[in-house]
Amino acid sequence: MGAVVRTWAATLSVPVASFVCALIVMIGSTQWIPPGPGNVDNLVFPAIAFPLLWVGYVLVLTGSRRRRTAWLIVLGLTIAGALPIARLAI
Amino acid sequence: MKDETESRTGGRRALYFAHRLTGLVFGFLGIVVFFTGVVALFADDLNGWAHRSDHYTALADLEPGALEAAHHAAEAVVSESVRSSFSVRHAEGQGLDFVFQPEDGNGNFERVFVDPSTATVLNHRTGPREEIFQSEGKGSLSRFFVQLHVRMLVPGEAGLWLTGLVGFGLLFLAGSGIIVHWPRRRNLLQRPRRALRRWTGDLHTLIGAWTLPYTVILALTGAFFSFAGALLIPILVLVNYAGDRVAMQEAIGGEVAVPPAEGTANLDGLLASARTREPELRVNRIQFKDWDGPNAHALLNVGEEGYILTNKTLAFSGHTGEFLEERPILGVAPSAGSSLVMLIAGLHFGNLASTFTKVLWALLGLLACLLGTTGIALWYLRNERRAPRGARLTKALLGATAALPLGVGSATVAWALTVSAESELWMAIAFFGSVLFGAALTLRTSALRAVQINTVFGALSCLLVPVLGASATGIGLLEAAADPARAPTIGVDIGFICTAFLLLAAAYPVRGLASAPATEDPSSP
Repeated sequence: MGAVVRTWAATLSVPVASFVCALIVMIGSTQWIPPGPGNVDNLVFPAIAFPLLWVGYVLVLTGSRRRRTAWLIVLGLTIAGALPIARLAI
Repeated sequence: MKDETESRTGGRRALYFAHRLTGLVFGFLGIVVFFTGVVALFADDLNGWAHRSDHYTALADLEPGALEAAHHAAEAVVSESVRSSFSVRHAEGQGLDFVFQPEDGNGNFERVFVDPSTATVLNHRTGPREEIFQSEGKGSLSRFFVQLHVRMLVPGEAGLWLTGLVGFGLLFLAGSGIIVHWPRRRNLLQRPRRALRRWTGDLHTLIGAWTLPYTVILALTGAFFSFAGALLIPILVLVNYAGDRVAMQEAIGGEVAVPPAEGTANLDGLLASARTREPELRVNRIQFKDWDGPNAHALLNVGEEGYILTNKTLAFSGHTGEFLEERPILGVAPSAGSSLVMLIAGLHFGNLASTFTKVLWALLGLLACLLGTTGIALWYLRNERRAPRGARLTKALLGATAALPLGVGSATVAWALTVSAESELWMAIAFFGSVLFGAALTLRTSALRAVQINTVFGALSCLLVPVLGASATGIGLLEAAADPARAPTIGVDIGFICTAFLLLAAAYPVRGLASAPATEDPSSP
């Protein structure tokens, strides 16, 4: 694989991976955020947070000087976010 | 002087590269979304202008007995299977807009427009939901610009994905822009230097710094609205309600407990009760649920015009007409989530504080377009000598951006010339044709000259709108100004005329820039 292809693959993988991670955290958080008196808080807050999470992940993964640590933090958050979904599936 | 890129290391350098790349990919689309968003802010005004020869009393101002009579007229033409669940609102230039929906949500909807003063049926449509909501003729003017802003005219959910990605791209541009060009005091106050490249860069940073909160808010709320429709709601329904959308609607809307009683409430009585209860607010829409059943109730959406945060729902019994409860627009009771959604809607649609926020939003939206344009211009000026092929693309994008006012003007002219069911097609041809013309012009002349020509053509097309609009709407500017009921619609004519003069005025500084030195003046500080 050429250096150019590798660079582009690395560049494009960040927003795609961040999208998946943000989506998992968003879905997971609907399970633990309380619905509130209006019965909508558990749906509204994660939905609003989704674009922010996505952009935040991309900024951290692109701009961090410690790339590996940044990936580990994002993956850790994603796994934590996936736990409520796994519980739902079981 | 060190080059800007050389002073950045590691992560910031990568972010700077990503910022420029994202700017190139999403910059132009972002400008289109922002520019059409500015037009879409005035969609209701455009619709009122397009329909100014057909004036009907609004739902909130109906005389006693008018709503009941209009409902009888509408009910007489629809099939019995859709009569129990329906809604009514005022449709500009089309009368009272009744939408009857099938009980299970599937099957054909029926839409009936009724003249409230004579209780005559003006139009009756039957078909699937998306079909009956297609606008025809005059209504296509505002619909076109809204659809261009919301989904770039791409049909289905692909359009929402596209604008959602643009929102994400703009949010990333704002975030990376903050880190890369951290706004300092001098960025907020510095007058742009004279040399063309420096002037463009300084202007980009200056506008970026001043409009940062606005750009972030609009990009975030836009991404939220686009992704909510295309991705988030379907996923939330799937995960939380096993794919049952009706179950989610019921959970969010909840049940309205209606005390058992006989009979059917008078519709005008409900309207009068709402007026007495909330004299400061106007009734925007009424939903009637289970109207012939034991749980019959009406939900009246009330709010102050132009102040979205005042909107709420009043529930009344469908039997006795007694007031049952007050609710927020979203959710069964006031909560942080429902308030946040209303705030987001207000921040995105600019209707937080009537016309003031609308105009402020429009001005900030135009500044955001200028931010994107200076970003593309920077790309062009940096690559003009180093990478001519790349520069050609950015030069074409610059020309296309400068042609956006021409696109809006020519699309409106196309609508005025072809008021019919096919208007939207002609408007799309006119809009995209103008943008392509703007881009193609850069092949024949310099970027600045192309910007200047496009700006002047844009001004001319805007000047044509009040003239051709008078023949399309049937009422001219002066005639509308003399009639108190139609006077508010002249705002659109004045808006196009002012835009034309502003564009003509803007063409002169562009001409002056062409004579400015391309590189930095060594004598400048």
